[in-house]
Amino acid sequence: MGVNSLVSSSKTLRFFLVFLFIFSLNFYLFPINSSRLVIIFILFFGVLWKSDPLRLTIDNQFIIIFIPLLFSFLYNVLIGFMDGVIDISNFANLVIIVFQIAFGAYLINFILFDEKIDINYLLYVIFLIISLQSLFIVLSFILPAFRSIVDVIIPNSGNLSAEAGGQGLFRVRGIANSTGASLSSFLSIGLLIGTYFLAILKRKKTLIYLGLILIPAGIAFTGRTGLFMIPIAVLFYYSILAFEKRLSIKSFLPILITPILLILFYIFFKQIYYLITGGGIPLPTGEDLLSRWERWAFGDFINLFSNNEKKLHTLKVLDAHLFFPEDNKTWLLGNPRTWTVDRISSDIGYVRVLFSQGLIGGFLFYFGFALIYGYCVLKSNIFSLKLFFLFFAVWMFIIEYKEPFINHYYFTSFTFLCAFAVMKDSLRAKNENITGY
Amino acid sequence: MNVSFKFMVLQIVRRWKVLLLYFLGFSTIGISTYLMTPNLFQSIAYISQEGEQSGNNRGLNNIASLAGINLDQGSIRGTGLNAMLYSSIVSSAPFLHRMVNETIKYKNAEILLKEFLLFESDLSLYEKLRFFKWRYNRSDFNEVSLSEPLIYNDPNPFLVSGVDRIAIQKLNNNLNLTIKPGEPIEISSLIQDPEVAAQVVTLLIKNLEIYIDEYEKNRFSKRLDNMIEQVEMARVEFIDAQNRLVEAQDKNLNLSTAKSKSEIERLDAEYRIKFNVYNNISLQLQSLILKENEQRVSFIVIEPPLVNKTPSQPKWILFVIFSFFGALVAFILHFSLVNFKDKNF
Repeated sequence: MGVNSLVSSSKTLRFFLVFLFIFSLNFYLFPINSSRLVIIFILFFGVLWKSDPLRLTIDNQFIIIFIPLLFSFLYNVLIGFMDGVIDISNFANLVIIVFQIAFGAYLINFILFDEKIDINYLLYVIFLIISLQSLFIVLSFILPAFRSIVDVIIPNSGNLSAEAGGQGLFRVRGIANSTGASLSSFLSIGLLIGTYFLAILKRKKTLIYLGLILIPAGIAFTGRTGLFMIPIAVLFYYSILAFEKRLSIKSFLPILITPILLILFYIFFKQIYYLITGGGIPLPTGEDLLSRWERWAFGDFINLFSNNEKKLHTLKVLDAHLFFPEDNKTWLLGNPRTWTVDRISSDIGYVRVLFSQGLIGGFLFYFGFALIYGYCVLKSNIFSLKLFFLFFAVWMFIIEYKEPFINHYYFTSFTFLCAFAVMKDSLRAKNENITGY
Repeated sequence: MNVSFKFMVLQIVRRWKVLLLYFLGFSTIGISTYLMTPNLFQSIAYISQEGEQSGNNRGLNNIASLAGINLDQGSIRGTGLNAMLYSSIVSSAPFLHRMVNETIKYKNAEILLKEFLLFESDLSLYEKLRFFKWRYNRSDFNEVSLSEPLIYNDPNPFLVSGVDRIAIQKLNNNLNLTIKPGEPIEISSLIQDPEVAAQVVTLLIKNLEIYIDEYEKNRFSKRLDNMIEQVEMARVEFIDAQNRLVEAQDKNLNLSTAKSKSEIERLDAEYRIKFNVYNNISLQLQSLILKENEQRVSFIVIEPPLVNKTPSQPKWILFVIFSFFGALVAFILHFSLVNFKDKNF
């Protein structure tokens, strides 16, 4: 067996390359991030090991739906010029999206993956990647040694403080450059994929169940935003069953069993944690790490059901972030400096995009992404997959209210990987029809 | 219908003239905007707060942080006014109003900072395109707007015309104060003249000191007034208790009844309490008066503002990158739209 065929047959290599592409890790050792390393690797070796004929094609409709995003790019170049090219954040984001993420996602789908590999395979790989990351996160939480090893290899670029009482102590990053709401929200997509496979697969669900236990744990130790996916995933699961007319009393059992399983798992995990750590990890404040995490993770939910003034602190904070530009120029054209140089005191994605790109730029940007999500929905060949992408799009536009996630590399990587996989499926179906298969 | 990459590459090669045209077009836009964008010179100073900041460390923690040593574990404590508020103070209208009316040296003459910002500085590219002029003239502002008072409580002060308001807005856009736990305070300005930029930073430090000093004086004065009032009340009560005791002693001078003795004892105890209260509060007042001169905030300038002769903005390389990617994306768009129109797809 030659090196090329060895590489070609290696599913593990593909798995890790997709992992490195999505999480775009920065290492102390390399001057460029792992996403770019993957692109370079595929460009150098991918063509050599590819066993089936290289068919680099693109769907004409995909080019059309990509146009608004290109206009958004051009618009950002022009307003950047007008402002003296002082804040390049928006521009840099779009360069990364178009020339790194979209390009890399295309290469993964058309060179790294064989011709026969479809969207379901890709989703399964991503589900396993998210499950593995969740496992790393849990390990980071319970094993300070693991965290220390990661700190030596991968720099921490997050803004969460690990000082006395800081959230950085219990919101861990697994094998990623930072932790927080973005990682949590991205992991939550694993829940959606898991429920998708739970609904469509008839057998071999063991890994899915395992992933569905690990992912909520991963979400809980990174950020609470991802937990809002749970009701959406449940709704998605029963929507598939309802549309496929498979809804029965028996099908409601998981909704009753899963919370019990999660509680049992948590009790088990807590015991393991105390066993491994020898009675807990004391913080400089004297509190136990897990107790501090419990206070952070469930404090707001407990307050929601009590009558005190601290009701849903997160939502109160978000309300304070909701404000609009005061001058017509910013409303219409935007002010690119508000993204980083003169950053406005808001985290809400829509507000930040409105301030930095105005109504014109904001429309092009969101419309561009809405079209890509729409493409995935319309071009998917099975109904449950259409529903999956519909729920994913809804999720993206919901969490955009928390922070600007739509242009975050986790989500854009996932979006473009899926869009090109859907495109590949669609092109293959067309070719099969033409050739009479 | 799907489009192969080979087809796309051939299309691009065939349309090389269009590609060249886009590159030329965007290069022209890039060069024009670069030339029309005024040069900005940055001046940065690092300061540390001296006072009661960290007990025995004083301002040393900030100096130590330059060497990567964190002495105070990131706590920011001022002498009364929270240091995290400095940034808000610096961008507040009253503070900036004071700043723009300061005198600076420019081309061997002394002018007000607002005069420099308005009449000696170029407009931004957007303003140039909007007003069709390179910079403001004095004739643009009539007597009314020149003398128009600034209303501090106005929540949106920049919507109303006036020299001060425009100058304040311009200055606000070009000043930056950054405070990070355990690090020195960074103050920077981006102004169209390197020497003025350095002067602005110096003025900012001076005015911030004055502002904090006034705040402290005001706070101290209120505390002192309150203390004097309390001392006066204690003094009155003490004299009253003393008088009552003396009166009782005089009245019962030749008596040795148990009733008169107990009354004198009670008044004596009351007198001692009042005396102690009066004595303690008087000591506190004296201590406060003694502290008046030592409780003043000042800044240690770790790194003074330097006159940077090389403009910090605009950066030509960014204009080149913007032009390149602009042309590339414009060409991709053109390519997509033309092919879509011709139904090549």
